[in-house]
Amino acid sequence: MIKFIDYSFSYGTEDTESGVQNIDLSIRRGECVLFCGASGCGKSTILKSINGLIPHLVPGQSKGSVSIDNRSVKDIPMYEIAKLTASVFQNPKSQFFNTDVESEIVYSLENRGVSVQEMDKRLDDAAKRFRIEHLLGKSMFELSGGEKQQTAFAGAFVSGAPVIVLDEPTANLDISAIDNIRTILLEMKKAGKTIVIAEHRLAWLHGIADTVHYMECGKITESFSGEVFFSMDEDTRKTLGLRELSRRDGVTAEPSAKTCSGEPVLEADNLALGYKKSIIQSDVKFSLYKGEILGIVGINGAGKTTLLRTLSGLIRPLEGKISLNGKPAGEQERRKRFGMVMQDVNYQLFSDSCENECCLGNPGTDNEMAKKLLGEVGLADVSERHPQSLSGGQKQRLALAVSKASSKEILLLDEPTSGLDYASMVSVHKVLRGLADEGKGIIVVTHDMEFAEMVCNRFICLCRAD
Amino acid sequence: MKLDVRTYIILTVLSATCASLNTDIRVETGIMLSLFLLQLLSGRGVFMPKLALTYVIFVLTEYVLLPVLPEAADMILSMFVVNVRNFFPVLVCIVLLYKNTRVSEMSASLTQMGISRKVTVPVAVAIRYIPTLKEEWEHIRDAMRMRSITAGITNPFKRIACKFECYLVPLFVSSLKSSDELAAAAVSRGIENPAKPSCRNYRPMGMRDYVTIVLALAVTVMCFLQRYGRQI
Repeated sequence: MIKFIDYSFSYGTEDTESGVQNIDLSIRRGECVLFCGASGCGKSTILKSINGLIPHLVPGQSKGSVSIDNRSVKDIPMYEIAKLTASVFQNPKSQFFNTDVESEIVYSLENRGVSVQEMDKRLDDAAKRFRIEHLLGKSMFELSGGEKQQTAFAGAFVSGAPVIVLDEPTANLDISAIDNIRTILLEMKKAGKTIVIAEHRLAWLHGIADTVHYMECGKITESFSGEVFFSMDEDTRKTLGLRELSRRDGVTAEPSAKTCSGEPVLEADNLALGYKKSIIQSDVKFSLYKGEILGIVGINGAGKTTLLRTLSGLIRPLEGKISLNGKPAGEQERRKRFGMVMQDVNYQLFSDSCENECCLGNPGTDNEMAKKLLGEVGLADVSERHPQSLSGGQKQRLALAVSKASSKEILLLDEPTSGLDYASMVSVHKVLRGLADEGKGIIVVTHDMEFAEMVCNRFICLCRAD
Repeated sequence: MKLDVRTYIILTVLSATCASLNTDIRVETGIMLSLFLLQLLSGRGVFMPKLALTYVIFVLTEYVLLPVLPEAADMILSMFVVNVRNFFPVLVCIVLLYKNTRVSEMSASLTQMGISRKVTVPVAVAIRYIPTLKEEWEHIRDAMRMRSITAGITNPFKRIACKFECYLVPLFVSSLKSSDELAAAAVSRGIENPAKPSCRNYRPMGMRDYVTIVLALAVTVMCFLQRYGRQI
């Protein structure tokens, strides 16, 4: 169905600039193929070469060929490739065009001029198959990230394309949303679709992926059958730098007696969380101790981010009080003493270099001190680079360095591992552990149980009120 | 009561025409009341009480406050009050259009009118991007509230410039990223297909659309005659 013959692609004019090299690959009709490896290893380039974004939208230098059904991708116009491949991308927010679910699902059919009767038929079929009837008629802006991805999958399915290309589709999703996506993927497999996936989070693909290709520096260095890959031992997995391969439904970390003793730095007492008069969570009560990393886990919509926003002083608690070192603290004081790393860290990087970012708003931090801070979070070699040019993990570490520069006592992190590979996850873990050892109190909101277990001393699970 | 996107567009154009022709406050308030009524009839969330209240404040300012102010203050303020008030009918029509029309309906109607995809696609993406832009602005505002960005800057102009830059940098970066991702999603879903697109949400105009347009036309003609009737 899909063939790569001695295919190389580079994004710049030089052969060495990131991309892929000498790929020889054959994907059978109905096969589910997974590409894994560290960020920048070339997984997405493979996917873009299949769905035609390379070379039709993304410029670069290519050699060799990629073909679908014996037709060279570079010779087929994009609108014809759209009949052969359907894609679901990583970011659920930036891949929809319509503001309502139904229109979004049938969008590719409208572009082709398919009749309204046929569209309705395919829409009904997809809604039933993927059990998303309850989403029809809703606005896209009402949907959670997981529901948006479900909609994108339904759109890919109704397009009738025999090849489905998925670029890290679960990067921003919680466990229950991933379960839904897994069900959808099984349904697609049953329908005979050829599925090509690039992913960091691998456990959910156990039992779905038939073949797994491991990539390093633009090359496929190892290939496994799904069965062999998912039975890989832990040491080999860690050596390859892969996220865990077996599914985890909970966390097993025990509370650490050492870090949970002494006077708490933060106390939340019977908090009611929400916006205006709508309560999302009530009776939230917990303490955070010096040097402790507290994990807050729970499904999407349980109020995890609202809790962080309330603690940080961005919004007021509807009820209850928050104390710092035993004294009640108002919103303004909390904003001064709390540092936050947002889920999308791009919104909090303002300057033109990492060094200047550390100095911005911190008159006491000079360039020498900024360099030292950057070194502590493993960013010494990129101190002159523009913050927006860093990788996701590096940006998070930079935000932590900024918090450190502003002498924040308590750090809050919202989903710090969204879209991060194993190596980046381990780097973030090391930095957090170092900060905790210095006596900072840290709260991490996450639905990534692998990361939570790696980094947290203690957990709070928020359940949805309904 | 929802109307067709074309009706809202015509209503916007006619209300702008009326606003520029009309000089009678009774006619103006009549037009505004009709538009607010249309908002109320359109369902939940379309009528914006704050917008209506602002309009009332502007009218009261002109007819109650300005006459008792000193002449100089009256002159300075009245220009501002009158000019801003003239925008209200258009603003209300835009709210009606934006809140009542799904992007797919707008694309469908514009496509049926024979408007090129080179126009309909950017319009659809721009409208779809408004809520995202608001969301991104709020995230940046939150991030700035957590950091004393301007600490250490004493010059007030530099403080404003610094804040402005800090809002714009992440906003531009995120907009560029979004536009790349949207373009990738669009072409991979066949947006460049030269075939005539079909429109699932296309509905022809109904009786209520024609009645609304006729009434709006009648008011426009009335405003025209009121302004230029004697000359004709």
